[in-house]
Amino acid sequence: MKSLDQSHIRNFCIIAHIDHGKSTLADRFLEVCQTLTQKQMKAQVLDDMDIERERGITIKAHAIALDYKAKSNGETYRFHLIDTPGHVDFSYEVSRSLHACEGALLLVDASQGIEAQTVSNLYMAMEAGLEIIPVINKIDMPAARPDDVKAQIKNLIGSTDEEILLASAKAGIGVEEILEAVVSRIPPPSGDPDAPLRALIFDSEFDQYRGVVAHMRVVDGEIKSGEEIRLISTKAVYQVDEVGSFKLTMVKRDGLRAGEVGYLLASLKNVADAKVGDTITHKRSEVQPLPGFQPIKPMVFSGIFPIDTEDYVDLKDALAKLQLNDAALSFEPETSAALGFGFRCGFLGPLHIEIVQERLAREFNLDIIATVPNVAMRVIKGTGEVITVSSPAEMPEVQREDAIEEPFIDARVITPTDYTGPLMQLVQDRRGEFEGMTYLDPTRVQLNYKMPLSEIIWDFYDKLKSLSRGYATLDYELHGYRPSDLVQLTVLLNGDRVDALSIIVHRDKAYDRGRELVDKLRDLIPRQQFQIAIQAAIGAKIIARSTVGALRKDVTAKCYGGDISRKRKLLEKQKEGKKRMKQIGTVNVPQEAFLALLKTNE
Amino acid sequence: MRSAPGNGTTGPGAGPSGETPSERERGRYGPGIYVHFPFCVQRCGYCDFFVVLGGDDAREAYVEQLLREIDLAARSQDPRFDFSDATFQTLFFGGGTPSLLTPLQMETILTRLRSRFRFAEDAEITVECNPESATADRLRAYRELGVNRVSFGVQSLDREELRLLDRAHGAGDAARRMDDARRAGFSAVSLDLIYGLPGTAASTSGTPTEAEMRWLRTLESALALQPDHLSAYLLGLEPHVPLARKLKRGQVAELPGDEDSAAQYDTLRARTSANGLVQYEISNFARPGEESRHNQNYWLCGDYLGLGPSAHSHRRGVRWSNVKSLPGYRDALAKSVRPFDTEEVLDPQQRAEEWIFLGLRRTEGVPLPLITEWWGEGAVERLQAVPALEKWLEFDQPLAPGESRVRLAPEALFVSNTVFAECCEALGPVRGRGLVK
Repeated sequence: MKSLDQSHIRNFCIIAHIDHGKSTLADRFLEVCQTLTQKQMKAQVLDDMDIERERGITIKAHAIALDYKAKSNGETYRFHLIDTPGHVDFSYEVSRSLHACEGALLLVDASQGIEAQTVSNLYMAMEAGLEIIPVINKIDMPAARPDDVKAQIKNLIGSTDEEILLASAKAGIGVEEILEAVVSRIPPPSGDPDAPLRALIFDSEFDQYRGVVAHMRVVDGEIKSGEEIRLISTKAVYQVDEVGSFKLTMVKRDGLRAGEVGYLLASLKNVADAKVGDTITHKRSEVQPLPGFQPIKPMVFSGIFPIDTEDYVDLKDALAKLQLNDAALSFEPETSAALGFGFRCGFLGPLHIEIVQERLAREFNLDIIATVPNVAMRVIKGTGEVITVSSPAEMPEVQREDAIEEPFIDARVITPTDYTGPLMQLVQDRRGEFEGMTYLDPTRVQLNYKMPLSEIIWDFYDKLKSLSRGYATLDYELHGYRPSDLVQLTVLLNGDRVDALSIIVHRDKAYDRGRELVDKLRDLIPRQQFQIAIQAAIGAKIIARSTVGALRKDVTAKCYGGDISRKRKLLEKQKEGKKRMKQIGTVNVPQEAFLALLKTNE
Repeated sequence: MRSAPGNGTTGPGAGPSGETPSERERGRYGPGIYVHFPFCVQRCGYCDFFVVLGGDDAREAYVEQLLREIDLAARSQDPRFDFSDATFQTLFFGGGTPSLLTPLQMETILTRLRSRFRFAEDAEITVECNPESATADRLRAYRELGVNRVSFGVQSLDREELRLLDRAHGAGDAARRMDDARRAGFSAVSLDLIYGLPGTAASTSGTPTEAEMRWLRTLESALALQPDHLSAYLLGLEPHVPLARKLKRGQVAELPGDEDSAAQYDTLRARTSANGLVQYEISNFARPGEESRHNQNYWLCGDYLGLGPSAHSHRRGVRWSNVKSLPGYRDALAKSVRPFDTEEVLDPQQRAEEWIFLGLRRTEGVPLPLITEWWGEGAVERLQAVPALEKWLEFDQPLAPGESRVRLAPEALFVSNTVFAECCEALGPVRGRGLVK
C-alpha cells in the first residue's frame, strides 16, 4: 500500500482495567474497519497467549493497523491501535507503548468505576502528553452508574460532560462515536518525515520462524528494508531484512515513514537485543535518542529448581527459550544444599514470577520448586562499598557500621470507602508509610503509601483482594532504595542451616515469621528415626523452635492371604517417597514441604 | 547364640546340611494351599477383604465351583501354575467366614483336595472360625475331618469394641469357643485380636483412660484363655470401608495417635512374653512349636496355591490372583477356565526385595549369606554402614558362616516399613541370583 500522509494517521491505545471491556472494544473496531472477516473473528483477538486469555490480562503489548473511513469527511484514516500490558509489573513497557501514541481512550466500566491500574496508566499517558478520550463502557448493564463514573473522570482529568463518551462495546453502542472522536480529537503524528530516522522500539517478541520481531513507531524519517540500522543503546548494527504493518498477520512493506507503526525484522538473536525504549536510526546517522530509555532491571528474585534433578538441563533450555521472548527475565545458575542445582531468576515483580512459573509448567512440562521471592537488597559497607544481594543466602556478614537498603515503591490503592480501614491496617502492617488520600468520588478513595517492595511480593495481592471482597486495586512504581532494619532469618534442622529457607525480613517481623516458619515445617516434615529440632535464628540467636517427634509407627500389621504384591507396591511407594526427599544434614525433608512452605504464607 | 527380640527362639526344622537355611525352612513350611471362602453373615465396618453376604444356596453353589477350580488347578497344562509335583505342608481356610461351611461341605472340599493333591502326613490344616458360627458340633466335625488348627477371629473381648467393629459375636463367646475347641481335640488354637481402635488414645494427664484400659483388658482376657497362638493386628483402614467413613464424619471416637498405638504394641509384646507366647513375626506370637507354618511360608517367599475368588498364589517368582467377584469366578469356571485376574512375573530385583522385607518380618531375620548371594559382596557392609539402620538392625557376629543372620531390633518392629525402605535403598540393585533356582 502507499505510504500515508501523517495527517491521516492516528496512533492510540486503550487504557482500561481488566474486564472493563478493552478487548471487546478492540474487536468492535476490527469489525467496523473490516480488518477481520466474521470467520477470522475469534473473540478478543488481541490477547493471543493462553495464559493471557485465561487470566484476562494482557502480558505483552500488541499493535494492529486499521483503516477507518471517517463519517465526518469521508476520508480514510490509518489507525494504529497499540495494546498495552495490563499489569503493574510491566509499567515501564506500558510507558514505552504510550510514547508510541498521540492519544488514549480511557475506558472505564460503568458499574466498576476507576481502578488503581487505570489511574496509574492514565497519569503515565498524561505525562506522555497524550490526548485522553474518556469512554464509559457497559452503560447497558443494570448496575451501570454512568453519572458517578462521569464524576470520577471529571475529578481526575477535568473533562467536561460532552467530552465523555458513553458506550457498550458488547452491544455495539457508541462505537462509531469513539472512532470519530479518534479522528477529530487525537492529533496526528508530528514527526519530521525528512529528518534522519528515529524509531522507538516499544515491544519485541520472539517468533519461532522469523526470530525477533521488533515493534516500532517511526518518529522521524523513514526506514526501508535492506538499509543498515543502528540501535542507539546497544550500538549494534543490523541490516533490515523486512519492515511491515501489523494487519491480522504481518504485511510486508517497502518502508515505514514518520508516524507509522509496524514491525522490523533484522536478524536480532533475542528480544534483549531489541530493548524496549531503544531508538533505531540509520547506521551513520547522528541523532539524539528518543527520551525515556531505561535498561530493564529485575527487582525481584526467586530460586527456581527442578524437582527432578535430571530436569536441570531442560529447565535451563526452557528459561533460555522464555528469555528469547521476555527481556525482563534473567537467570544464572545457583546451587542450594537443600534443592540442588537450579537458577536464581530475576523478575520485574510478583506477577511476572507467576507467569514464568506457569509457562514453565504449561509450555515445558517442568515440575519446579520456586523459593520465597525476595527483592534486590543493597548492603552499604562502612567502607563505602556497595554490595547488591539478590539471594538471602548470599547476605554478607553485616557489621554495625554497615547499612542495608531495600527498594521502596510508591503504592496507590484504590478502594470503595467501606474497606478503607482494613486496607490501611494491612498496608501499615506491611510497613507502609501513609502519604495521603484522595476521594475520587464519595464512595471511592485512593490511598497513597510509600512502602518496601518486599512487602508486596509475598501474599499481598491476595490479602488486598480478600479484605476488599475483590474491589481494591493496587498499583505501584519504584521509588528508589532506602535504608531498612533488615535481618537474615535462617532455618535450622537439627542444627543444620537450610539455605533455601533463608529469608530477609524486617527485624520487627522476624519473630513472627520465625514462629510461622517453624510451625509450618513441623507439620510438613514427616517423623523420622530421631527427634527433629526445627529452629529459626537471626545470626546465632535462636528466636523460635519446634519439634517433630521420632517415628513411632509405620507398619503393615497384616500380611493376609498371601497378597504380597500389595505390600511390595507399598514398599515401592515408600522408596519413591524417599527419593523425593532432600537430605539436609541428618534430616530428610520432602520436596512437597519446600513447595508448601514457599508457596503460601497464611 | 542367636536371639530374636524379646525371648530368643529359632524356628523348628533344622534340615540336612548343604541346603541354605531358607530352603530348609521353606521345605518345612511350604508349599501351602489357601482356600478363600468369601461368605459372611454380615459385613464388618473395618474389613477390606473380598466378602459377600449369601445364603445357603449361594454357599452350596460356591462349593461346587470351588471343586471345579481344584480340578482345573490339579491338571494345569501351564508349567508356571503347575503344583502337581508339590507335597503340600499346609492348608488354610480363610475368608470371609469359613466356619460357615457345613461339615458335609468341608468334607467334600477336603476330600477333593486330597484326591487331587499330595499333602504331607503332618500337614497343618487351619480353619478361620468366627465365634458365633463355629459351634461345638461343627468344631468336632472339623477335627474329625482332619482339621488340626483353628484360628478364632475374636478381634476384641470388649462389648463396645465388638459393636464398633460390627462383630456378630459377644464378649463371652470366645471363652466358650475356646472351651469347645479344646473339647473337640484341637491342640493348636489361635486367637486374632485388633488394637489401635478408635477411642483408645491415652489421656493427656498420663493416667490410662477407660478406653485405653480396654485394650489391656482384652489382651489379658485373651491370654487368660491360654491360646497356643495369638495374632494381633493394628487396625488399618482402607479409606472406603464404612468405619473409615464414620471416622471421617466424626461419628466414632478418633483413632489413637502414633505414640498411643506404639504403646499398645509395646503392651502387646510385654504381655504375650510374660504369658509364654514368643513373638516370631511383627504381629504373631506363639507357644514354641505352635508358630503358623502356613503364614511363615508367605514370609519366606514360598510357593502357595490360592483357590477361590480374590485368592493369591505364588510359584517360583510368579504371583497371580483370582478374580475378585463371585459372578466372574463362576463364569470362568463354567467355561472350565481358571479364574485368574492378575499375573505378575517378578524380576530378580523384586524377588530379592520381597525376600528381604518379608523375611525381616520374622523375628529370626534373614541369613547374611543370602543377602550376599542376592546383592553381591559388600552388601552386608552397606547395610551396616547406614547410620539410620544402626539402631534398627541387629547383626549376628559372623562366627558360624552360613548361619549368621540379621533381624529387626525390637524398636524397629513398629516402624518396619521405613526400615525396609532404608534397607532396599542401601542394598541397591541386585547382582546375584539368590533364590532364583
